[in-house]
Parts: sequence; structure tokens; C-alpha cells
Amino acid sequence: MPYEFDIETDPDPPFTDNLGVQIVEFALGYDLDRDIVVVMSVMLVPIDEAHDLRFGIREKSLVSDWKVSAPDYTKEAVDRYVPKVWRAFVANQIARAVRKLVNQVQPENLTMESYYAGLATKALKKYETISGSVHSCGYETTEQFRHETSQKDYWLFRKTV
Amino acid sequence: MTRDRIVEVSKKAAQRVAKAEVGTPAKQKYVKRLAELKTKRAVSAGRAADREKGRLRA
Repeated sequence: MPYEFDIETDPDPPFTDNLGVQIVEFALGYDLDRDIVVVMSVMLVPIDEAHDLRFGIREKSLVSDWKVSAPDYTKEAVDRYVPKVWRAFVANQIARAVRKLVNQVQPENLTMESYYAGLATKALKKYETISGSVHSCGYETTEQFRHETSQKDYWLFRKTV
Repeated sequence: MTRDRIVEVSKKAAQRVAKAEVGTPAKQKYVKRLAELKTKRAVSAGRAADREKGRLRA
């Protein structure tokens, strides 16, 4: 596979894309044959009275300007692009990116949704880590529940100061 | 915000980012790093080929 894991440790400050989404991204690696950089994209998506926090893997073309894939939130994408020994490091980088974004944007309400339904406690750990990052920016969790129909988990954070 | 509203906000956000096929222009630092990695790969491949030639000659 022509993919080389090559993580970026010092990402740029948040930027806004053409949909108004605020993003911190950092490179995970490169596909040398397809001329793409694979990035972890940590996003704050403004929707009416709230901002939704999401993080997913995207492929960005380095030859055809502006071309980017939709975020991939799946375990398969993580397996493909992040070696097991680097997963904890990447999780820390995501937590750092969340703090950067939240501190810059400072939304009143912040929502978060799990990608998979019916997650076991162990699998919810990464969301707990993210929640911790949000709390460290002066937010509290005001709602946390599993949706009856979808079985996905949801969080609502609100600014305390 | 009600629970239904939280679910709705997340759903709308997921739909919005899923539509994105265009982002921001590729950052030059990524273009540069890709070129470096390609050079590194070419050098490694060249060395491997030289080693193989040496092995066949021996």
C-alpha cells in the first residue's frame, strides 16, 4: 500500500471552510500514488442555536485543488490510516484540537453525537475524553442520553462562564 | 435545548459536512511533505535495486 503514516504534531490554528464550518485539521499520512493527504478533521458545525462537534478522517487531493472527501467516521478508516501504536497519540491530538476550536469559537451550546449505535462503555471512552476537553474550556454537560430509536449517544454542553 | 432538538442539530450537521466535496486549497506544507516522501521512496527503491544487482552479481 502506498500509504505512509506521517502524523502532523503541530497543526495550524482553526480555519473556516466554504460552508462556514470551523476546522482544525492535522495530517495523518499520505498516499504517494494517489497524491492525497489524509487528515483528521475536527469540526464545529454551526446549526442554528448550537454548534455540533465532529471529528472524522478526510482525504484531500494535493493535485486537484479544493477536492476533499466527506468525513469518514468509521472504524475501518481508523484501521486503514492510523497504526494501532499511534491511536492514543491521535486521540490526544484530537483532544488538543477540540480545545483550540472551542476556545476560539466559544459557542453557547455544543452538541456531540456518537457515530455508532449501542456503543459499549469501553467504546464510549473516546467521547469521555472529548467531553473532558470541552469541560476544560469552561463548559458543563447538561444532557447526555442514548436515543431510543437510533441507539446513538448524544451530549449537550453549555458554557458556564 | 430538548433532546429531540439535540438529535436534529447533529443530524443536520452530519448532512452538511457529508455534502462537502470542496474544501480549502491544499496547504503548501502538505504538497511539500508529499514531495519529500516521494523522493525518500525513490531513493529507497534505488538503493534496494542496487543491493539486488550486487546480490545477483555475487
